[in-house]
Amino acid sequence: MPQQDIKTKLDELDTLSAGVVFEREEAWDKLQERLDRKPERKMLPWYRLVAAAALLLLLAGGWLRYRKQSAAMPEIAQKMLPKQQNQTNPGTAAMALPAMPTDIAPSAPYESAPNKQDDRRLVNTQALAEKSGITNPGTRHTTFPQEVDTLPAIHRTIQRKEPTGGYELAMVTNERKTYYLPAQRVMPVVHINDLEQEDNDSAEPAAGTGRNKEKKWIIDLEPAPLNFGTASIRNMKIVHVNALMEPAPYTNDEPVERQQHFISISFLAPFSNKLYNR
Amino acid sequence: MKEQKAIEGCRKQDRISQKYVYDLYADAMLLVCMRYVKPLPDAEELMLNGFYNFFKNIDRFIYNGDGSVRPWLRKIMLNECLMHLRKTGELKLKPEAAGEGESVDPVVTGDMQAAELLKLISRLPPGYRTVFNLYEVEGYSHKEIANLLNISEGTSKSQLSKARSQLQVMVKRQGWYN
Repeated sequence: MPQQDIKTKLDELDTLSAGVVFEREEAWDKLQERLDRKPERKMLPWYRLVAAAALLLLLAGGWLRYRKQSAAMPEIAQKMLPKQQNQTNPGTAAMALPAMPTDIAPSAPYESAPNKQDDRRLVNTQALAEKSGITNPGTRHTTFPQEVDTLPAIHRTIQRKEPTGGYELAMVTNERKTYYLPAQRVMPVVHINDLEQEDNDSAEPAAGTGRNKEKKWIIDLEPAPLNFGTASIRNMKIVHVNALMEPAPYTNDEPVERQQHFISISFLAPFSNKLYNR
Repeated sequence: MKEQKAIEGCRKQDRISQKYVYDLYADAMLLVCMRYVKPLPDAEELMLNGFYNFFKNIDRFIYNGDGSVRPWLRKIMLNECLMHLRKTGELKLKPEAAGEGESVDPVVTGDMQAAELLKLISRLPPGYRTVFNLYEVEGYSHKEIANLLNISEGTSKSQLSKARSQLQVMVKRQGWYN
């Protein structure tokens, strides 16, 4: 068999007959030298060590920052709560909405200082309305904001641990309004119109609450809790609920429904120290 | 010194035992390496690497009587050679269709001397030579060769048939063909 033939021939071959000059003893000396050599310790490349250290520092920094931010949240939120709400045009159904000061703009240092005192300032919505060509701001179903000097008197507070691991703190004021403070969980910005859609199946609020049936709102909680507040809202870090709205870039020609879509809620984003407005 | 006793000595890193095993198999293992790697210094280096690994990792070796050392050593040498060929890039084979040249018959060497045969094999291109050795000499199947060399079975078959064809031509030229 040819295959067996080749295999047998090659197996039987030795170096001498193959004409190979092989210095066996010299090769053995080399081998012995290698065998006697102590194994060298392999050093980790320096760049790997540097990368590992940098990663550790980043992780530790992130964790510390998160801890600090989480601890400061309730205080910040408490200072952001508005004092009261007004209505400007009770003749329309939309005016049944609670007061939503919509033209509070964040000042410059606000974005980078969530752990410090709240530096937001109230702006003159009348001036803004005139500047943006709005002749009848009352059609926006909001009122002009008022400076918040003191927090409303707290009747009682309720704190409970959420199943998701966060804490929710509810404050009931003497005026029988309920404010919810941030839970110890972080969620992204949620647009109020999205929440409104989620709430389609929820129960109607109690009569006499003064809330528009079509436009769901966050505050105006008497006697019900957050009216869109199913599981989705409970884990949110609500910095403030009804205290912020950017001047809407619309004109008077746009329909009221369109204008109302600019109303939004703001939440603190995790690790970014920024307040996001939508 | 018997082989078994030498292996026991090797387990204790005894130099005399190691020298005994080395003397016993160095020639054969050098020729194994020479079948895969052409330059003699390279083959010698690979043979020494193989022995070094054998002595250092001898705890993994299970002695099953006379004749069990040689296949173990051959396998180590083969791995060393394949690693070397991969490093040098000589094993980058072009993928080829399975049916190409499959009908080439095994090489008939007639009365050709083993030394002559080894020279002819070493003249083959690295890809042909490797597949030819693995299939014809080591007895691997095409599937095993494909796994070893990270190629398809078709490529392995094609390389083998081309190696056989080329070797046959060389054998005829040498005048050994009967």
